[in-house]
Amino acid sequence: MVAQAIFWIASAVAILGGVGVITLRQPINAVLSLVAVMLALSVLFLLLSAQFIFAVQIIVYAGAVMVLFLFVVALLGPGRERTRGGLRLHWSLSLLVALPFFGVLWAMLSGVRFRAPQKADLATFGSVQQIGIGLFTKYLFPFELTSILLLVAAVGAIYLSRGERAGHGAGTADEDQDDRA
Amino acid sequence: MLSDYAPLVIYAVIVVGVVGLLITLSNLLGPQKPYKSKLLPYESGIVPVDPARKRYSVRFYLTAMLFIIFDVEAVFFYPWAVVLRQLRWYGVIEMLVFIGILLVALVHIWRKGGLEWE
Amino acid sequence: MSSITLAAPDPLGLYTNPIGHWVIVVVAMVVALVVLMTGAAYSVWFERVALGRMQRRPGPNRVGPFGLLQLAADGVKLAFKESFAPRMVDPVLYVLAPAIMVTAAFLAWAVIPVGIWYGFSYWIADLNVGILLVLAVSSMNAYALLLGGWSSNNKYSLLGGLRAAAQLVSYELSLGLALVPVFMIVGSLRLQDIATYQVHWFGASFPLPLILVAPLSFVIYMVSAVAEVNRTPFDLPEAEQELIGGYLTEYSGLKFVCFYLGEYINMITVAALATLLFLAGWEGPLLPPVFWMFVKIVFFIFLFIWLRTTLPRLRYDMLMRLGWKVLLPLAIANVVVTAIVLVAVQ
Repeated sequence: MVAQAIFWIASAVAILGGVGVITLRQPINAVLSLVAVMLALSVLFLLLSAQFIFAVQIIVYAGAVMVLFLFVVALLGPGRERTRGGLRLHWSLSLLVALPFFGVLWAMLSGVRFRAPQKADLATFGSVQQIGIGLFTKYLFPFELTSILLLVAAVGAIYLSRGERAGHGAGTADEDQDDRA
Repeated sequence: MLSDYAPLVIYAVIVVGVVGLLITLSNLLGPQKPYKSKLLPYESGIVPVDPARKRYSVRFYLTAMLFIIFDVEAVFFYPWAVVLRQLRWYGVIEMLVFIGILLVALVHIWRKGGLEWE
Repeated sequence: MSSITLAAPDPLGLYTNPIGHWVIVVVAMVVALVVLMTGAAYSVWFERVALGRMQRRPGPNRVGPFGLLQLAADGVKLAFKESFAPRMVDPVLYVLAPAIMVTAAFLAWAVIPVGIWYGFSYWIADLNVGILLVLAVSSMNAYALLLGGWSSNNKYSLLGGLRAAAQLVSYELSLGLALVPVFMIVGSLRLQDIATYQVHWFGASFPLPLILVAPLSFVIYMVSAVAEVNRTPFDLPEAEQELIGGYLTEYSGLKFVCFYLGEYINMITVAALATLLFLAGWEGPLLPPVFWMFVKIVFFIFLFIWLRTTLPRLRYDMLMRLGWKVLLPLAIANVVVTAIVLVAVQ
């Protein structure tokens, strides 16, 4: 009963936060709405007994990814999102996309049958130990692939910051640029 | 399992209540006598010229990006660490591969000067 | 639905009564909060006295015996100060920042167990993710610093906030990685399991301070922890000479108190974690657990104060270099070596 109340609260926060992300004009407020969404999602994970994912959701999404967003906003200065300059036929175009989307969503959701999970032992399900065993035996390959993904991300991050420096230097990102910059 | 978290929820509610009380009191107690020069940003007595929210060094941005990469790495370490005694050499080798690839990333970042703070 | 597992004797049957049970739970939590706030106040007093003595001056000694009531007087004074927001601040975020700081500081104590008496310890929640919750809520501090700096509309505040947040995230990495060997040895993230970890050697079992088996982890943890709580030699966010008060510059009255309270509670938190993770928690000879827990926490707080009087502040580029080029690779190497040794001797 309490769990249901928490579910409704967290879902409401997630949806309102999502609406906030696209409607709020100040970038910093939009970022904070997204933080609210992330925290609400972590609560939803917890309600599904995924305790490790609950903690990781906060550490990685709220604690790292959104902090990056906040850094970007703080670094870029005061700019408000401009209200003008949108597409013409803005409303009709979005309706054209949104209506079929909600239609598909409705069609998918109306076919869903909810049931309790059958095999999971809720005493250990979602615990760190169980995640560890699963991740390092059955799902080993995806786990190792993650490291390659992170490598690509690292290369991309370096490229982005080097590119920025090359912007007001010459054109290439060579080592000898450091002297001129 | 969920019942483990019930005290956490109660505690969170109490904490938010206490903090809310503190913040409310901060506005209720004490005088409110604002005047123009009191409300200026404090910049060591010099009258501020520009707005504060300007553009700052992109270094902070790179730090935040690198943090995400290694934070995700660290998150994988926790479940691995608690079950290492069951995985034994199998677990060590798995993690050596993972760390090896990430060391390549670290070396690349290092050599490209991503860790320098000019 | 059950709740706090109080391993206390229950002669009146209060705890088995469902309403009495919840009353005890709530009262215990409020008491914990009060103890935490008092603890933070007395760490400030302790710091001022210790700093004074190390600099050959008496420190606060006027209000009450040994100046013990100094912090109460300061608290009342600050509460009745004008708490104004300067022009052009973002009113909501300006208030949100100190609130996040102190909320995160309090929430970390949800999973930290405190040994009270033999076989009786108190904790608020006993979670499988344990210390990950501490890491999760302490990562929320970055928001307090960034929002406090950004909303204040002050260049020093914003730069201080950016610096503080970048420092926080950089050292959060090595702090988290430094703990991994401890998790390997104990095989659990629950702080109760870690604090009461016992080894079985030659037919006897006894508590083992993990600093003995993971000394490098301890060193990396301590350095990162000092940086996490923004204390000298890593107190660049508030470097008075260059940044006035950093993100604190535009705060006054109880909102300023909130930041300070958060900071000192965080200091107690990292001291308590060091105690639980590396010094066998509340275990100790002869005297009861609550004494040992207290002494060990005070020892770490004293260590932080001692560092403050001894070491000069680092330059910002040196700070980042230490975090990324020394501590991070060292922490990863530590994890690898510990894993290999652990599996080899198993």
